[in-house]
Amino acid sequence: MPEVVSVTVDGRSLAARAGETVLELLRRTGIWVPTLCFDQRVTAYGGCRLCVVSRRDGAGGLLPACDTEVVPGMVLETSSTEVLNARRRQLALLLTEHRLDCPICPATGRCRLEFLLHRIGVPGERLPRRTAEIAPGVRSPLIVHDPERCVTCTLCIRLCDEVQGVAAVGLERIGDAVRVATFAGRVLDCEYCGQCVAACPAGALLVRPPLDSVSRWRTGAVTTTCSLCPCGCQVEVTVRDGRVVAADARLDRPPNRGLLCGKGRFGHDVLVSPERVTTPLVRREGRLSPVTWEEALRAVTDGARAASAQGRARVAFGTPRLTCEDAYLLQDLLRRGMGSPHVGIGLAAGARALVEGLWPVLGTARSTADFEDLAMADAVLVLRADPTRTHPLVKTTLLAGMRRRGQRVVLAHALSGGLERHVTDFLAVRPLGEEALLYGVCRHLLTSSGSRARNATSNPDLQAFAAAVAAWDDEVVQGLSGIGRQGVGALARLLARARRVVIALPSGLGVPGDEAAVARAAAALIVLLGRHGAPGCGVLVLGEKSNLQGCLDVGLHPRFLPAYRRASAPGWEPVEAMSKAGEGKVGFLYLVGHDPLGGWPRATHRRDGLENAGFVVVQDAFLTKTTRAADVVLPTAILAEREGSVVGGDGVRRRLHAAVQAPAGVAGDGEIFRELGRRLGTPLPDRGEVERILSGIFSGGLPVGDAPVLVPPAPPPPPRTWRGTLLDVSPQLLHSGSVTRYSALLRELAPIVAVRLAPEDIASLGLAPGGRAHLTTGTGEEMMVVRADRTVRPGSAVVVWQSNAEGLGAFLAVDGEARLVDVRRSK
Amino acid sequence: MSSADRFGEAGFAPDEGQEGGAIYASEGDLAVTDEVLNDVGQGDGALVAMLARLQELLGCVTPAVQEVVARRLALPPVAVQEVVSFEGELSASPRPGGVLRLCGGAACLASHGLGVFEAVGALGPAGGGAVQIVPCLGACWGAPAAELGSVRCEHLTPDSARQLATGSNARTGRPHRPPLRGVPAAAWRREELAQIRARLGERMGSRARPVPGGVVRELLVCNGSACSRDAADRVAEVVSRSLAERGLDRTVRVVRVGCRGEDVGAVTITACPAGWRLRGVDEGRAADLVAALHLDSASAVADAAWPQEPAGGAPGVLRRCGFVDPCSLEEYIGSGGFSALERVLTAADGRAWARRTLESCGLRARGGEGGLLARQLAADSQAGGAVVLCPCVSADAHLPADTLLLGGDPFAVVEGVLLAGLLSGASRGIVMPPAGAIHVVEQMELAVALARRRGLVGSAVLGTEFSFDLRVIPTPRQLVAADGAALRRLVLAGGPLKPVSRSMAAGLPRASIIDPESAARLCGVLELAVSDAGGLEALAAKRLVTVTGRAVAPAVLEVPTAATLDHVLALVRRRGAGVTARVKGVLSGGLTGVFEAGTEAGTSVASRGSLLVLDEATCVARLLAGILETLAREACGACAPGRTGVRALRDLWARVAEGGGDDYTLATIRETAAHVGATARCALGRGTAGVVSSALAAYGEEVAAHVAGGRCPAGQCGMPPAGS
Repeated sequence: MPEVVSVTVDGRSLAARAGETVLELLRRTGIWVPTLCFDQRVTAYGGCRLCVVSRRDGAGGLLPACDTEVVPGMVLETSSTEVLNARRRQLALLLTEHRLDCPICPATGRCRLEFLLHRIGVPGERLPRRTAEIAPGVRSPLIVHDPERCVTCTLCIRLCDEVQGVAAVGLERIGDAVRVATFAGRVLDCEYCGQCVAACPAGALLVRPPLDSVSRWRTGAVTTTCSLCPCGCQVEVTVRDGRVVAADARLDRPPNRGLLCGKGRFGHDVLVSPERVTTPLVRREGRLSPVTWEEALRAVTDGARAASAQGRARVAFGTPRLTCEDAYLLQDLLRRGMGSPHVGIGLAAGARALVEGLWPVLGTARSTADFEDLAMADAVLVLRADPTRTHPLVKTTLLAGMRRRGQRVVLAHALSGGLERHVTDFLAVRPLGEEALLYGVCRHLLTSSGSRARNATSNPDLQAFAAAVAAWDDEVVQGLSGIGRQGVGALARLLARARRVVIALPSGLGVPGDEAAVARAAAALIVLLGRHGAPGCGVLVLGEKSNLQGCLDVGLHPRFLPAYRRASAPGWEPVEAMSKAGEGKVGFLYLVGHDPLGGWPRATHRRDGLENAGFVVVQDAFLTKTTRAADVVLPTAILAEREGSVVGGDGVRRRLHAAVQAPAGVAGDGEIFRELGRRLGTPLPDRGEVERILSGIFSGGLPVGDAPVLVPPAPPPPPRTWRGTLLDVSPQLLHSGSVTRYSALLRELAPIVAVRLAPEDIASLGLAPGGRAHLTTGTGEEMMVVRADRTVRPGSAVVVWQSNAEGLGAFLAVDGEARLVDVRRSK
Repeated sequence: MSSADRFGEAGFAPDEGQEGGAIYASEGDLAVTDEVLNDVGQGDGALVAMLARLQELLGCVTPAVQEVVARRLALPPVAVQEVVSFEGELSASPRPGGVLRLCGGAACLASHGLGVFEAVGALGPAGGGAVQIVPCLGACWGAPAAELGSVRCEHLTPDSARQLATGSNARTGRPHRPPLRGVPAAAWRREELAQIRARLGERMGSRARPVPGGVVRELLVCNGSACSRDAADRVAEVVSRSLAERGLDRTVRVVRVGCRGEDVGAVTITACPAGWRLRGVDEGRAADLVAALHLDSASAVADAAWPQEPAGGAPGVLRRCGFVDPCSLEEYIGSGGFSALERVLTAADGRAWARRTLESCGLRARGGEGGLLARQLAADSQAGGAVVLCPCVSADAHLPADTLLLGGDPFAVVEGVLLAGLLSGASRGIVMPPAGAIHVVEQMELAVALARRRGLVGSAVLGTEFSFDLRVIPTPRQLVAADGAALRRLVLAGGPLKPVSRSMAAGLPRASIIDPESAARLCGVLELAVSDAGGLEALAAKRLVTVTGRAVAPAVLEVPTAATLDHVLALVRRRGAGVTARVKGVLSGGLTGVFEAGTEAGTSVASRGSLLVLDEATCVARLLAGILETLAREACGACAPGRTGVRALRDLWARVAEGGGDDYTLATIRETAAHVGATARCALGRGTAGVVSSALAAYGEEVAAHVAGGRCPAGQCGMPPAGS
């Protein structure tokens, strides 16, 4: 319990918590105090002085409430004439440096200055306005900076540094010439999270039209769940005339609490992309031609019936972006409607980690830690991909933990890591060395005297596990992970000492290494630490797509029925299915939101797989590489056009609310599935029925995994050696290549596709920054621009992909394999 | 311009080839940068030190160099850019032909009535270009003053200022010599200190005890630490050469000493042990002096002055200034230096004794409001402060006195900081002379290097277990109220010298802060206690005050804390016939000080640091307009009252000074000043309120004359004076 101190506010005696600020106390008590430069997410600045209160107990004077700690016996007045006059006068002074063009300002209606002006007013005197001309200090293709509206509250600067860890903008100059500026006047080089624009209280930072060009009072807003990644951010979508004009987040809504990333904030122009398919297409005489829905659906059912009649398999892959409802319908359509067990989520990062990693050990295929646990943890171990690019909310959560709570974050990463410059501890593991590191820690815990793990003899599998782990001795672990005995020991001690431990495994298709094996080791470690099931502890597996977890939960998996009931006759795994297709054994291939030709590792399917499939249906919002092989293309609704629910990487089910209507001629996934079911003679459950089933699953119907099994690891592989450059194909922050690449805005912001190399490698390979390089792997080759990047580990090459998904497929590795790339100067 | 226009292509064009920096640094610049970075290392104050050195060596700190520095110190590049663009000494782009830095201190503003500024056009918008206004150069006796490169130019006229600004009168100063590298030498032990004291004691004593009519054995030539270094160097050279020419160099020694404070602004020669002193010496008079001595080594020059008080008699912090060579560690030890450190370090109860002594004599930190220094240091020790900072900042109007002290008796400050470190449990110290005052910086660097060479600073001081590392890092010359948190951020966290919020300060490393005068006083008190000489309380209760103005002789005086204005004025009233104007009051405390009318004020003035004596010919309205101009330029811009309020006051007051305001303007000024005073974060904002409201209170009629009748009683504003 925090210590309580007594203070008097406006004659009322209040109990305050020791150490809290006056503003926190007043807000808790319900006393309104105007603030401008204050934001709960960042350190108090005490700059605007609008929150002044007057102190009356000897140490008199006006004090900023946001930056004054409560003192026992303090006597405060919050609404005396002195206080109100000081606030009015200060507001009047602030307005002397703010250009008052409110009637045409897009911020009108949500401008904090405007609100305060209405609420507290200004005195009658006229004050001289700032006359110095101030040139814009922030140049950006997206963000418009108007320094003559800026009142230097520095919210943008503090958010950029403290919350995002980017520090792309700062203050420049002195006195009344002070302004917000980027480094050396360069174009804004940042993550484009837009936090600065959202927080700007004076309309000095705005988003370029058409976004943000309309005053907010002429719009409507709908809150929905962002379905671009599994973070599950709650996003408030502003709509005008049926179009999304802005997206923002509210401070009081978990999990993102006011934060969004560039994709979530600016990616909504995808909805109006001219490249969207707005009518069904059927292949006629080798060409895809627009047809009516009736014709298209008839072609699909005919295709399915024909396959059935030929005795060839019917196979469907649904993207992990499907809502839970639609995913349920898809597996139902395949299993009941078409009588085929071959349904799944296709190749999706994180799926194997959950199903083949967590399930065998923990008895649940769900992450055992959520974002709250991540925020609460005392120690976090981050393995595999780079959350700064793939899971922005994980990065900001960790950053806040480190900066505000002294959280210890250990990043064990083999290639480049954007998180590297923020974390408290960094372990440079060798590529594919994560598993060895984890079992090394396990072994350390089991052999060091006095550790909890050693004493937990009650667990029957412990002995077998210990015996298997003994093979992962110091030498083996060092050989595989590059981390020696001391490093492993230090990590083991850190994790064992911490009260709350989370192991986070962000994933990506391009990340080398067996995600299932790493997840198994991570789950075993958490069990061994005695932290499985404890609050603030667990394993957090983060896939790439928004509803990976939900899709698995509702049975979109060849081996699991809804709620993880075992399928009596398991269907084919994606690689297997593609191989069968190549052999001509698949008569009907239904690809919902999947693009195997573009986005899957080329090694996972034979080129003839799609050609030899009897009938190929592609259901997507855009024409992908795979539609070249499609017999029918069905256009679908995406993002803010959809209703339903998704389950975030943290296991929480969140609702989608349609903010806008899908374009005419485009149907929702579920609508299509239902219609197909009806036509095939197996009506699928209606909306109410699906909701009833899903409620059953999500409220108590899922296995909780309360009896973990320590699965003994396989013997360690021999140490790996590489000659050449290791390839890391990573999604990049501003779009991951499938939906967001159709956002004109994001495409503009995202860096062009390039191979990023450490500066010393550029020199030793005889390349030049900005020049071209020829990249060759076993399965493909590409020409790319070369960029120097100090965050890239020497000896590795990072390709942050963008729109050329064709090239991506050539570069992706199959699970468990590290890709080598030959980088040469291009002639 | 409509909003749509602004939105449109508001000149947006992405940079070509931005990757890796649009502005490439030359190979030479990067080589220099690498060397500086390796030289300075990481540690405390690294950013300030690196930037100052780079500016000095490269002439500017370009963005490309800033990036390298940022990477080395693991700071975001925008943080480095903030410091560079904030600090007037640093610039991000080359400045052709050097920059004329005009002093915007109160004394300079008063003595030229803004004529110099207007002559060089520095009052234009934002003051960019080749002319800058800096807060205070600490050269109040030479007002109006300016710096061009490292050359200080004093007593400017509008004409000479214009010549300087246009480069027609440019001289280049001597570049800053890098500090001594660690030359290996044997560390001194206690016995050696005793030997030095025995050997030099008599000579040092003879300088302090004049023998009227005695022969001249030593000529103490001032080193210009408080005025023109160049002029002092030339005089010293002439003296030495003339002595050698006449064969007197075996019988008469030339010693370079610091300024004693009474003769600031003039090159002075003191004859020892004869005791007479010659002010305002130039090369010609120096040669004459030697010629006279050649004839009769016991005669005094006709216009020599005879100090009323025995030289060095009163035990003040200035007692060595003007008597002891500040470049000689031996002379410092010979005059009793390091005895206090020796006692505290080697006696069994050394620290407790020091605390007791300091508490019993009641030594307080400068400013007067603070608690006992000993308790403050003890509290720092409990809180675990690991660093002692010893800053000279312009804001507190003590700059001239501190500069004089650092230039005249640097070892006393070194010893004071060491003692403060001992008492606060710190292991490192940083002395921060004002950046740009090259001779002072060099003097301090030399003193620290000499002390380190002899084992008085560094590991195992005097063979004991006490280790203390001392660095010299020039402080940016900003007027901002450099409170503890701002200094800690500057030195320990690599930020600009800006006041920060309480919440931000809570995240900064801890430090003990002691100003140079207090450090020297602490050292002086303990030294007196060691020698059992008494007078500890008297020394503890004195303060250095700088007095300037047309009606008085400029001086840095050490007066009792309780001294009143008339007491101080009595010491410095100019006896010359040239000045007849009646004194009408003072501005005490510099730019953020207080105007007081009359001279019979009974309140003590010593703690305010500086007194600008105003005479009838000084227009307060115009002076205040200049002060507000400097303040508005120097406000850090962090808190809204300090940024918007001070600027509004400047603009409103400019209207008044031009005779354009009305009563309504005055009322708005009063209200705004009161508001800024009540809500500003730092002393700059509060001080602005104080200087404005005290001017209105003390000189209301004079201001009203401007407003109501368009008249300037002082006849300065180009308006008709009163009664005409």
